[in-house]
Amino acid sequence: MTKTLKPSSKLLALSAAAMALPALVPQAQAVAPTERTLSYRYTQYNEMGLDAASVSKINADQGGGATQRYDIDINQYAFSTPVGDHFALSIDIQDEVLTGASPWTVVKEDVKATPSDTSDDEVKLVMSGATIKEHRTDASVATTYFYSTGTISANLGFSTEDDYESTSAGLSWGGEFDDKLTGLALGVSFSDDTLNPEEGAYKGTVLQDKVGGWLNGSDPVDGTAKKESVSGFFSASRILTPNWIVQAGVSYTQKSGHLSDAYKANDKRPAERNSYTFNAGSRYWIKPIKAAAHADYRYYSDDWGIDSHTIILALYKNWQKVQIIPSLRYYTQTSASFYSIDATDTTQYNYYADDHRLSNFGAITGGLKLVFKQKPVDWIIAGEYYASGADMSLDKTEDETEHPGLLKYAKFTFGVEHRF
Amino acid sequence: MGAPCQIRLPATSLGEAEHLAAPLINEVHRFEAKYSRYLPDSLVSCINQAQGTPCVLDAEAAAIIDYAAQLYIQSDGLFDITCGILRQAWDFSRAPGQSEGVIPSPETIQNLMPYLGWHRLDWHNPILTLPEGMQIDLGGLVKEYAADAVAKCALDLGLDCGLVELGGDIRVFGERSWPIGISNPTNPGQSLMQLHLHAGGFATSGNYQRYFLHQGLRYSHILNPKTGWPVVTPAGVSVVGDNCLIAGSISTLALLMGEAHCLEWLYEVGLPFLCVFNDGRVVNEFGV
Amino acid sequence: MKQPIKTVIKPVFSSALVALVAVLVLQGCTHVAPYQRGALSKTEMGWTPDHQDATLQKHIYFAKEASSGGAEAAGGGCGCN
Repeated sequence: MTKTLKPSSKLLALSAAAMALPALVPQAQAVAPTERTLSYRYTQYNEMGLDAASVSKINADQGGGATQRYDIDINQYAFSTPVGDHFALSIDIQDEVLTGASPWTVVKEDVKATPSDTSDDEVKLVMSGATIKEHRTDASVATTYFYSTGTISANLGFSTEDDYESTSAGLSWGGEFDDKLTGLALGVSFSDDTLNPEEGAYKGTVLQDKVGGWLNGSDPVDGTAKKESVSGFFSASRILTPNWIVQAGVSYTQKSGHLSDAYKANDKRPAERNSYTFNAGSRYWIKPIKAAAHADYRYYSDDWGIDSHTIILALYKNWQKVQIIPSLRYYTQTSASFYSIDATDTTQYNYYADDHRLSNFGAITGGLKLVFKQKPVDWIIAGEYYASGADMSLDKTEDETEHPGLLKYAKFTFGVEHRF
Repeated sequence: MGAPCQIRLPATSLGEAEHLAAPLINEVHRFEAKYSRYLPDSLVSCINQAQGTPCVLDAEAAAIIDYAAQLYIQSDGLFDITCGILRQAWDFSRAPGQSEGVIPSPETIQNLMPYLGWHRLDWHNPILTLPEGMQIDLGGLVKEYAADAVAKCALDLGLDCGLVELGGDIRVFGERSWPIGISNPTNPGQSLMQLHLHAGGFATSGNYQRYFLHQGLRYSHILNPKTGWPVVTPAGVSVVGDNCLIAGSISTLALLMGEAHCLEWLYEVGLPFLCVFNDGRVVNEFGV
Repeated sequence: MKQPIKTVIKPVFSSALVALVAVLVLQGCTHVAPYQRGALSKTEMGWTPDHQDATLQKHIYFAKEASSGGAEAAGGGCGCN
């Protein structure tokens, strides 16, 4: 509106009188979905190979070439349907195959070309080798009950891998108030995971001799180990103008159990991790160009010393029967308090890790998605590029060596969605 | 209803659309049969011919009369369902552009005034008693309410979304927005603007629909029940509201306020509107 | 080198509350009637217009970065982290 118009007492009196008319009695709105959706996505993404200089001689001694990281193929299937007037049911299946290698640990290596070279030792990655093939299947089912002013949802999920099982459940509520101008949502969720790390093909190989074994000896798992998480969130949204809605929320998650990575050589983490997030979002309809502008922000903080900021911007622009969605994401995190890549003697510390994911770094993702709307079918293609590095971090206070394991990947998605 | 009507519904074939629309069209006919003052068997005709006998109204008709009472109060007596009697003096039946109308003599109007006035009739829900010689005309609100009622009927039948238009008064329902074109009241062939309406009502009142010209002055069919004379109204007022009845009531009252006071009224009410004056001046508060 | 083992809990809730209060204070400034919500009802104005994409993004970033979670129902874990 160009001018803010406020309803007068006369309008309110007339509206109240009108509500006595049989066709204008306020009624429970049919908010439940009325159509079925069947959707398929294929996504492939390839982590960029490491340059040979970042990889340890140990890998080279093994035959070299272990600079390849993961190639990942994902098939996603989703089905949702209304059940009666007040319920909806949805089923999601995600099937993922990973092949390649992952960083196992870091070592400091002498890079002197000649005996008179004064170069310092450099941090090199020791890779797990290019033989890992993992298969993960994740299935979840959710049901939502719709009533006049809100929804109640329950979901149950299972995820299985050769060496990992996870069961999760969640319950959430969403309601609308104040003439549906304000939305509130809250929910809780739980997960119960079992790790069953397997001895890899490295037992007894040169890798084991050099670094001490395939499985994580610093926080060994005796057969199986458990991991649990409990999480809760609260959020509020508000319609500000006919073209603008905003949202803010908080969440808390507690993870406990065996939180060390079973496939690292030097990794011993606390048995508990408490994290908090604050998030804010905005959706704005830009009338002159008929496009929706999305902005989302999340602040994350945990008691491992990690703080992070995430900003995602996207534009949903309709152009005839095509929807064009460019997006940009920036992420920055500080390192965990027990993270180090030069802890040569780990025995003096209670906790330590050299995982690049716990280091101080930043990352940028750029993406473009196209949705071709051919009623009743939508065709989707999307591409994305992700790059991370220590120099992209917002936190410049730590004068730390960049972890050589920080990666880049390119991702491609093809999808089709049918409504009926 | 004496004006072009349309119902728009999503359907995969014309046959399906006709099948879905059939009960809705029946609902429109039900309203016309019940509330038209031109049909001799209608409820309104029955009330107007009662000659002082009390009429017991059904719940729907009673609620409409209650709403009319509220309109009378909120408009300080400008909206009055009994002022149809003045048509005996003012003849708006001739088409625009035809020969000049005749201004009735002050005596003719004075003689009708005793039969005019909401305060003279006896309304004790559900019993309505009209003094002899008085009549009511629900023309200012039944068409608008019928659009809402048809939309309700469609929702009850399980339709997700649609648009109901009864002679320019529109109600849309469901999770979808509909483009609505507004024509220029001073030049009906010309489109003034377009807006997108989502789950609400849209109504237009104007003096271009029925009026007569006399010595270059445009006399609208909107009559002031206090004076018995036509109001010098703005050319057209369109209003958007939660439902068509509210939108129609506000636009009708804006016309009754006349050119001098309509903007004041519209800003006080606070609903989005578009007002076009006879000199072509446009005040657009739709925000588009 | 950083000193390992320090426990930091940032006063995140205070800043979160300030932002929430800011959002709630905005209430009452304007009233947007149902018929004015045409643009807001478009699917591309939703918080998560593409559910499958969002699920996958969450999973990928969980495997690549140290942060997870947000104001939504959390799912289960995986062996990737």
